[in-house]
Amino acid sequence: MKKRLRNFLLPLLLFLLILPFTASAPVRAMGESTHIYDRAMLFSMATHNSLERKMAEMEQKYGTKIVILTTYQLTDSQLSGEYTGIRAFTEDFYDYVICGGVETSGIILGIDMMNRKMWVSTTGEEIARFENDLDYLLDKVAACLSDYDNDSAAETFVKLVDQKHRLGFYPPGAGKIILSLAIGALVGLIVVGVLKSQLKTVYQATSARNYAVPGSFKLRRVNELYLYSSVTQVPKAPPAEKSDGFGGGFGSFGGGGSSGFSHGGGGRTF
Amino acid sequence: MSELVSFKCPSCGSPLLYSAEKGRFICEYCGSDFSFEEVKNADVNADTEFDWGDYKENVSQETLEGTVSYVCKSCGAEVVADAVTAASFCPYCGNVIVMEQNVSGLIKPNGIIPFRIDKKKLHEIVENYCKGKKLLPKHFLTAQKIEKVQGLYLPFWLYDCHADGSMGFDATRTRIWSDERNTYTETSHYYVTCEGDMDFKKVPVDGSHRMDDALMDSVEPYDFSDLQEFAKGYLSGFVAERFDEDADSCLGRATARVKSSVASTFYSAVTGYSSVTSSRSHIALQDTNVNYVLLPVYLITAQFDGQTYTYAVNGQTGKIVGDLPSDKGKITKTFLGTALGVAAAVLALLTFVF
Repeated sequence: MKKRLRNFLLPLLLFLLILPFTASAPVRAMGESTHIYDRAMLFSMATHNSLERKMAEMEQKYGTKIVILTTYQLTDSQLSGEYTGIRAFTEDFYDYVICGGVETSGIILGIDMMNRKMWVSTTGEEIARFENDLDYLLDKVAACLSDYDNDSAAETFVKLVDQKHRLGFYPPGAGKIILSLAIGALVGLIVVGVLKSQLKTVYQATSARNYAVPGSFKLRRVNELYLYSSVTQVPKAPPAEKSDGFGGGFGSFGGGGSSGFSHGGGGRTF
Repeated sequence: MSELVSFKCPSCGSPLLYSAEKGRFICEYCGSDFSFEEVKNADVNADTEFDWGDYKENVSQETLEGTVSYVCKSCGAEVVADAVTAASFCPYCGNVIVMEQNVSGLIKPNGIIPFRIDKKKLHEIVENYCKGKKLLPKHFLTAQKIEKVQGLYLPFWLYDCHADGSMGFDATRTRIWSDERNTYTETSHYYVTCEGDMDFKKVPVDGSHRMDDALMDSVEPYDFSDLQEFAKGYLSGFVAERFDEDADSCLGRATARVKSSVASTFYSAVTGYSSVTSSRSHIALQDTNVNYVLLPVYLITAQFDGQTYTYAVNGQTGKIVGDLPSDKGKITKTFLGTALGVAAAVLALLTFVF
């Protein structure tokens, strides 16, 4: 009974924490949004409306939630404690506001303009879907935000989510293609080298070991003369500092929000 | 010999030649070159001596009666056969040869290893040699070429010797430990000397100037337990070559091989160190003896892309050696096929897995 009460009260408490913020945010006259919550007023009207339609279509087509959330300032309660910041805000917003406390597959992009951080959180089937390609998506969106091109950031996010569902993968970048060709060329050279070495069987003999009389080797004397010693010292590397998951940007990991639901995701600073 | 070869190579012990162009002494065997001071002060010339003794006492000067000499008008090779064997093709170049009787006979060898591989077996050996070599041009060694092959007894010198010497090594032992801040490596340096000796029997060196030394080295080993007392009957159906490099001029190659083996045996005996580097060697050969023998070889020549390729088949064991040519088209196809295939696989892996 105590556990049930806690399960009910905790989400309610977090919802109430988020509610004042969402309620106090300025409301735009752009019709009812169910996919884009642009509290920081980052997107143009045209982009907002166009993406809203597109995301609604995708949600119906792929059966998964696709959401964009922006905020200009997180409340004090959202900035203190261990589980804080844009990651906690994004995951809790998705779990309680979008899904009403029911675990639902989906992906959400959260942008914190005050701290210039972004977080993409995945739940349900989307965790596995984006597990290997999340860095690619994060890098592309963060690049747009770094260029102050907010509309492109949102469009890129929607486009890449759509592409991942349609194709199952992202087209490899020039770096991956060059790396693959370089590895291929190296293996090709090794294979040709091995095959060419099969054609060479003539070598000058440098040893007469085959003609040594077995057991004839006699080691009469071995003498060891100590000369000197030298000592070198190398400082140990300092222990690595803990990362907050943003940094230069490889912060991609799984975890659980305050709801207890499983989330995947990663973040970037921009 | 001592007049012809004043110095020996400090690296391998072979005779050194003076190059007027470079003004330095050149070793044709290992490719090293040295100044006069370097050669003069080297251990090999200062201390190492070859015990000449009567090492050639076994070699006969008797010329065999009833042998016929043949000269190839194409490549100049001279081979000898018994009176009843008709040598029609040169074993070196495959061209027609002419008979030139009673010019010179065969000096009687101390021994001979008879052919154990016949023409039928030779076909199989060559066929297997070409099998599975993906870069080899098609129809390179055809049956037609093998038909023209004639078994050849090649002159070899077999050297016996007792090698005695000492070597010095720079050696180190390392000890590694660490505390909270640093990792420490202590390297202790030693100078290790060792002395020892070992015996060698029947180190073979071919006595044919025309024959590629590396090819003959590669066709080894022969099983000398099958060495027979020479009898003219073994020449029937085969041809033989007279040696044109005597035991003295071939000695350098045998010496270099023996010294290298002794040095490597000493090196293996110095254990318990982190690193061992040879710094000095002084190896002398004693009680040396030499025998002149004929060893069986099939020589196959083939032309490709304007070059002549020679293959040698050990007539006793069937071991075949000889560098094969590669087809440029096949190299390109193999490289592109492998490179693109691997690149596609890696790209797929990077795209779908990582």
